[in-house]
Amino acid sequence: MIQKTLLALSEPRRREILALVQMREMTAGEIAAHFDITASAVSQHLRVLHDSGLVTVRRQGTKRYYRLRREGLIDIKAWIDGFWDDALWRLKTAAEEEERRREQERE
Amino acid sequence: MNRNGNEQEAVAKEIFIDCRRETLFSFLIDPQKMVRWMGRQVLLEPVEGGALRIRFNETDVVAGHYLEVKPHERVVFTWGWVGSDSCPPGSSIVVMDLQEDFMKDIMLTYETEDDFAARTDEARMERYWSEWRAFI
Repeated sequence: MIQKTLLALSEPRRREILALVQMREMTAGEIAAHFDITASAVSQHLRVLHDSGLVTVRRQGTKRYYRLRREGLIDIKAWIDGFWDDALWRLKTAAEEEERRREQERE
Repeated sequence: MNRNGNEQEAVAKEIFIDCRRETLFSFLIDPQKMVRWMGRQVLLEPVEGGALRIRFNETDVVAGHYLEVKPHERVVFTWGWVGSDSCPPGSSIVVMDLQEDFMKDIMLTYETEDDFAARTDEARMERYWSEWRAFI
């Protein structure tokens, strides 16, 4: 999921869409009105954002309402957090192992 | 503020490591040692302005350069993922401080600033080394 999320965020227009649906939900048509690209292109961006967990969609009648899924961004934060936690733990293990080895060599 | 003018958000990390500062420092500048805790292939030129490249797998590569290398005390380098629009090389800074422990011997502080997706995350790591080694 994190790879999908990173890929989704790499496109500037998708980041603009996220900014639009941050405070309120919007239909695909309302979102498309903010861009000079085709409605189908906007629809494709929305699908990518939805697949990566960055927006939620609510169907009402024939319309789909999109809204930012804040948990999607929290997932990224958690991923960064975990990345450094893991790296630092490995650093601790490796450095302490080396220290013990040096001590043994000195004895 | 980051270079995009967005608010930064920090992530701070602290960890205690039971070893001498010199030992830990070597893991920040020696590719053969860094690969034991970060990446699969590591190329380092640990001088100010020197390059840093960490390959994690076939597609994920971090590139940056050292901003500061103060033996046994402090290492600062830029950070970013090659090919990424949201966090490209140069978009983040990793700061690692190694300090004396107020108790006795060594306190190491390791800070990381990581700008990501219009935010900056800061990881901060601290290491204490006491004569009793009771922290670990």
